[in-house]
Amino acid sequence: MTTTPEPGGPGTATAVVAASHPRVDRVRQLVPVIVLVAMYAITVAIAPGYLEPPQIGSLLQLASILGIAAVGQTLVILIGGIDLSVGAVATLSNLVAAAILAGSDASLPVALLVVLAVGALVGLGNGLLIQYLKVPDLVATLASMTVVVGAGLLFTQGSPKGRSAPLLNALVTGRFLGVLTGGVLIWLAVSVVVILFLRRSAGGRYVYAVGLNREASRYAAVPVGRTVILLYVASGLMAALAGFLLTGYTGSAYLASGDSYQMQTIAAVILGGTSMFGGRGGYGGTIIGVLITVLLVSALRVVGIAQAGQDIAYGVILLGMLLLLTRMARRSA
Amino acid sequence: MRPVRTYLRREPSVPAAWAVLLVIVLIWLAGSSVSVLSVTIMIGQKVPLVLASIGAAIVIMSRGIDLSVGAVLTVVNTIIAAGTAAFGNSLAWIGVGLAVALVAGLVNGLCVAWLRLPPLIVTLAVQSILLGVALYVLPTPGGAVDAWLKDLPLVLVGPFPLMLLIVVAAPLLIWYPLRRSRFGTALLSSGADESAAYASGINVRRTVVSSYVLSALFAGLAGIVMSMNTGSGDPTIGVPFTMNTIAAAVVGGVSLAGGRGTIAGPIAGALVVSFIGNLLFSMGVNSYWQYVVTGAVLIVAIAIPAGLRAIRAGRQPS
Repeated sequence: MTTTPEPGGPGTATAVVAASHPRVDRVRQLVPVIVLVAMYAITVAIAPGYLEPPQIGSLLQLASILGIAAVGQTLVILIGGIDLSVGAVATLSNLVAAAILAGSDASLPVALLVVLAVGALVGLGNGLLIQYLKVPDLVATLASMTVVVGAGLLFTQGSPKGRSAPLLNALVTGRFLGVLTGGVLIWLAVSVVVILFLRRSAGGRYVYAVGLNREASRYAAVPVGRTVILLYVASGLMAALAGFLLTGYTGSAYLASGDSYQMQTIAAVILGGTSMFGGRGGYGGTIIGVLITVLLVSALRVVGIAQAGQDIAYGVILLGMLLLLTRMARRSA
Repeated sequence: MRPVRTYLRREPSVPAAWAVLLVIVLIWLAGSSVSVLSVTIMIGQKVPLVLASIGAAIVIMSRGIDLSVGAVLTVVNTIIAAGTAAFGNSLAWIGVGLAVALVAGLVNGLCVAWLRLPPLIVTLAVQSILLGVALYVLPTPGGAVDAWLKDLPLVLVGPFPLMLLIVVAAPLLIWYPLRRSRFGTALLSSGADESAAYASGINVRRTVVSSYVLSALFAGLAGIVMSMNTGSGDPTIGVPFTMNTIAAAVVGGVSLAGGRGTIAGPIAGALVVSFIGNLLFSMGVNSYWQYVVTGAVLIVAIAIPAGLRAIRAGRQPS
């Protein structure tokens, strides 16, 4: 699952260097956008409230946290990996942040640093397990997820304490210009950095090269090991940042608060057209995937469909989108 | 002697997992007071994970992954509990539940084998659908099962609990005939090298579909045993199972790269994973350590054979 190149995919040296296959990639980028626009149009037709700034604002607010958590997931899926620990790290980060903050703005820098350090440490552990002990990505991150869940329970002894600081609450939930919040601006900044990194930097080329063909990358002097480890560290960092912002969103800490990000980030990356086999896609697609996910969940709730129906619709749409993307990408390849 | 030595060379993780299990059980037995009744109940509680892990392992051998195991178990559990509470007759609802499970497995298999979609996302989507169905069938924990079904885990066959016999009989009656059959060969060779298997005249698609259907069947059986144990239904009961089945398969030496594995391994793996909790509890350790220990066991279980293989191959892990 991790290293199999897609049937018919390019494995040649030129393809690794160029890291693109224009027509396929254009389809991969276009389908999610069309689906998002269509879904938004349908939602507005049913519930006109979705044209109002407050509604758009609350969608973006939710999207910003999921979007930041999905950065790392995008990066590791681009190299043909997977990170199952994203949700657990976000939860632990939420628990630790609330405990350190304890409602005081003065503790913000300390809390942020501690939380990011924890996330980076988990990511480093994942990267080392995968790269040096050759543990499959799925198992390594499954194991670290289990350990992180346990760490959260041991840290709180089962009853989370503390709460968010007023400044953090204001940053994540305070609106300005109608729809924007500080959290959304952070997401925008992160997005720009990630997209520029993937498209314009040598490091970004390494990501696609490693994702398309590890063996060829090694011969082409791409630092494969370093790339893999750093991407998992980045995934841990971003999951921790998402958990930190989640603290501002909920105002306090809950056990399992971020656990839903585990599967939602994977779904958002795939809905955004990034290939599970690595080497194809990008963070721009994930942004669309995140918006689709958030809109879908919110719209189903507003239309008055119960949780049961939401789960069913979510699964059906995920399956349908996957089918659509794979079919169209294969036809144009 | 020779077949034994070949087996040990080829599957070193299986005896290792059983040895670890033996040590855990001995320490646990030394530190706690046990009666026939408590052991019988406890074994009954382990059976769902054992059954579900067998199914998950079969899919992993075909080089897939099944994230819908826990949801299939949940759906079967809620259908039995809600159906019996409303209309009675658990046996009929067991049939309905298993039918739903088989359909779910068929959908997984067809999407993976015929539409060639990535198994991780397919089974994730199917998991979401099934959890929705479970929530629709039984919105809150409750329901009921017939009395005979509830008493089944307490049944003793001679001196042995019936559930213990199921754990022993499952590999003997289901796996060994299967492994020796054409399907067994097809399963492992499809997992090892799809195109080589295809070139050898193996129907890879049908094999992969069958592996997902078998996985759903075992998850469904796990759901039935779960209903016996709890005597009711719960729409969230199966969620932790999915990850534990993968852990059990990996601890039991089933390779995620496909093509290698046994059933005795995952059974031991499932028992190790679930006995860790009993052991820590009897030792008086904070039960939250269970997660940390499980994660560590998982890493050790996969890192040691991988390291040994790298050393045997005579090259440094790069």
